[in-house]
Amino acid sequence: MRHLNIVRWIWLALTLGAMTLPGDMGRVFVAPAQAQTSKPDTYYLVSVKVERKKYFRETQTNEKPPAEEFKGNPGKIEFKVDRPKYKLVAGCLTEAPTSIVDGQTFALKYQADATWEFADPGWSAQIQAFGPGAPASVQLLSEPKPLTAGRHSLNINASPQLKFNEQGGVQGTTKNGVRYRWFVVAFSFNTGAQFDSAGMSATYVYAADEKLAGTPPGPGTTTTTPTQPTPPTTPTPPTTPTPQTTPTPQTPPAAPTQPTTPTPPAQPTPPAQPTASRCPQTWDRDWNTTWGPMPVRVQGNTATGTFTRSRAVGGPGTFTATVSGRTLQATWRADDGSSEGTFELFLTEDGCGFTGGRATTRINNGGAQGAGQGGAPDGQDPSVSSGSNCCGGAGSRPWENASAQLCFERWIAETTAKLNAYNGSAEYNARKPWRFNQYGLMEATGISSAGPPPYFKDYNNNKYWYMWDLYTTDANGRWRSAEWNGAGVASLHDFVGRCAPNPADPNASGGRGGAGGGAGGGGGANTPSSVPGNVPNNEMILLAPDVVVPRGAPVTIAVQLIGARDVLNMDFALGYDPAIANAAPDAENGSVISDLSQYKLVQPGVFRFNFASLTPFNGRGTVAGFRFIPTGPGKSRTPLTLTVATVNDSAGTRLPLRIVDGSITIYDPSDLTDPNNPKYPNRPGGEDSARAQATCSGTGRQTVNDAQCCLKMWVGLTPTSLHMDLNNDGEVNSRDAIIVLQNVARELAR
Amino acid sequence: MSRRNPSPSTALAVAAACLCFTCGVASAAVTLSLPTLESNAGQSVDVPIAIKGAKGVSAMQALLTYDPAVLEVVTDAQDPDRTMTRGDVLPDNAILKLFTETPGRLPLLFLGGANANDKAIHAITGDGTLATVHFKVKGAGGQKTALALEKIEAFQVNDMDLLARAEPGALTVRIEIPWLWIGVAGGVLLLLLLIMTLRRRPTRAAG
Repeated sequence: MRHLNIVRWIWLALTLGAMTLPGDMGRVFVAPAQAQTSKPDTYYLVSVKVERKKYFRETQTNEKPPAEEFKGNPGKIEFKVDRPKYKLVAGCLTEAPTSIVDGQTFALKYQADATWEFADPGWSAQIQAFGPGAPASVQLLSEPKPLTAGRHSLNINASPQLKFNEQGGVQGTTKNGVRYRWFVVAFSFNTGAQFDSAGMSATYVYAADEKLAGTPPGPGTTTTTPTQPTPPTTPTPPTTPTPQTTPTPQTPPAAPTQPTTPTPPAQPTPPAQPTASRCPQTWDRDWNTTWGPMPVRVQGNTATGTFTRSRAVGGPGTFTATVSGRTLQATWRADDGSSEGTFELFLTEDGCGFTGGRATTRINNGGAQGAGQGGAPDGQDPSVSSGSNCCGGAGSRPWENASAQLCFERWIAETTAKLNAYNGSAEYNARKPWRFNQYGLMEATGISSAGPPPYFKDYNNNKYWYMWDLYTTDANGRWRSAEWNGAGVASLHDFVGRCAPNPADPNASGGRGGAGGGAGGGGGANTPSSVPGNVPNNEMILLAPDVVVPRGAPVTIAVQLIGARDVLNMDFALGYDPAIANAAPDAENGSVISDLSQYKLVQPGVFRFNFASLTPFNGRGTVAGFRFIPTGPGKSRTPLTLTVATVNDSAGTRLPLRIVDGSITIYDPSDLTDPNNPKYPNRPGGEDSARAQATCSGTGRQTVNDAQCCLKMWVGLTPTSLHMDLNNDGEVNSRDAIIVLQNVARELAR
Repeated sequence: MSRRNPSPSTALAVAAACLCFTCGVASAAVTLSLPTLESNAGQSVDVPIAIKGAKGVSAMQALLTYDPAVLEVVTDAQDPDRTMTRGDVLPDNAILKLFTETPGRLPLLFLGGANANDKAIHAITGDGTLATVHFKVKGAGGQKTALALEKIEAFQVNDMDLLARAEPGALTVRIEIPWLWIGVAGGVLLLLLLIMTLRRRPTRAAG
């Protein structure tokens, strides 16, 4: 277990050393910023948080989740695990000074007790200190030791029960004479068994501002009490020793690197049937949100609530709010006091969800503060479908969407290129090349990650989810790193929101049946937004986009080939629901095609396309464009299903290929209750917001091709669709094309 | 015993395999190129944007980037042509706009334009110069800036995109040799030499 601690220490040291990282990472990683305070000689304890920790590897033992008992009393944690073969009880008291004089040594103490019945227990402990005013060094007061001899092989028949009684703590010295506003000291200990471990962690926040002293801790926190060694109050009765069925005790305990209890944000909820205005018109319920489960309680026009957003980005925390109609305006604060801010939420017309509006975030690190855009949560009633139009075009959880993940990869590729091309400070340049590792963290010369970051498990080990919370900009789209701003790194949220179209409610599509028919005109193709610039693991991908278009507006579906290597020929079929969209009988050749191609609408609902070349294709490009006229009602959707029969390289070998299906979602331009409608009134940022742009391509991101689409409508090459009448003069003409160009220029220059 | 003739498909595969020993590249792409230039501080400089493989391009967007500490784009509200000159590849009624609001990051947008009479969208028909952007050098001697085109997207009339890439350029500000001051210093030196020579002559005469 000790070597795991070393790994943790290495990770901690490296991440604390990475001082040029952007966004909310900066709350921990940025260089300290000094700030003058009214009481420069004392730090005051403003927050204490004690948490239980547990880790169980169900897959190793094939046992059911353990029965557990948890009691959180002030200063004491009791944790009981009742497995069929053993029991584990752990308890802890903590003590910390209410104030620390600058330059003097301070100590945080704990008194830990544990009993369990099984083999191979062991103690481990770690300490951390971070924040702008983190002490120059901290150390354990005493190395935790079991009362029995070290790591050991236990004869459970002879000694069925182990007892630990350990006093320890953390000692440190603040940086005399250098004033900062706050710092955090945290420690944790584990009792590790072969597959399970339990323990606790305690986090103490000290601030130089005397006014902050006495701030009541948030939910889940406890206050400190004087310590007296006490046995666990819930002792476990001895059980009959049983033969050991797990691997031999000599095997090092398989403790996890981060055994804290996961508090993940909202779990995906199973889609339900579409509903219409059947949700209560109130905020008072338990929401599933992008900030995790969020219970909200309303009294009059006042609301209170909590959120479980990851600690990595300023959570969990609480908020108080005022309710005015469908709008909720809240002031929030992280439980650990590390950040606070405001956000604005808008209840949807049907009352089944909400979208986030303006948000601000203040990082309490000594002056650095800003407003966070896109930081407000989106949410939905857990009892209804997941069709919320939050988080850009990628849906409420873009990290789970295959197309959106490709957009993440594209952002990573573009950001890496920009950062390495940027001529920054001498230190910045010396650390090139900058790169993203497998966890989504930045690495560079001298900065690497020895393991997953803290809380990574909270994100289901999904790096895209982790990155989504980690890389955020302020309201002005600015990063906290000057180099990132100088390099012109795009906002991840905006990038993914624009790049990945919004998947609509999968249950909203109409039934099959009905013949297709009329040919579509020339709607804008959705090519660029769907093409990731980088393909993970060198995969080759055939991708159909997700588009959102008004009923009756022609759209061209561009099927993309990404990460191609030596592709000589391919046969594939595109399936769709002819009751929702009519396909034109003709298809367009894309940039991949250099020689021969054939296509046929073999029946309504199935399009076949193939190509063969003498010149193999490499890289990424459009294979074909399929024109559709969406005919289904508003909120209906058809999947676009790709089926590949053949794909060969120049040697005739079949190539591995990943398929990413797409969809066409239809909105009724006159239905202002549909979040997919660009004129949806509750859209954060209003109609001019980036993700609300009217497009011919259905991607929500305007390009010059949408301007060209306006010109086509003007001259009659494409049926006019008034959703592109951007100046509301009753027709689509060159003036609308110019408006599109202005929008595109604005986005390009960002 | 006769040898079997290869089937047509086998022949095609063999031919393709032979070809890919030398090719193995992606389809032809639209290429935008920027020049590598030198200029004196304070002078005006023209940056042409060349385009190749652009036949059929009817819409295109790109971002022209440079170091605003070295270059500044020439702007004149009364005369937009002072900022940019349209290139020879543009159709007659093409729309070409360069947005100069953000120094160092200039969106360049092109539309081939439409003709309502013949219901046509126009496109580029050949290689040449897309535009020439006019800058003034504000950097000092020895400074350098990259000239790059990013975020390029190109489309045909049928809405299909084209592969696009950019060849970056650069501009270096020349270090000017101060000939005038060198000349003045030389003249002063000669004058001093002359004075010293003239002052020694009377001494010899007295002796």
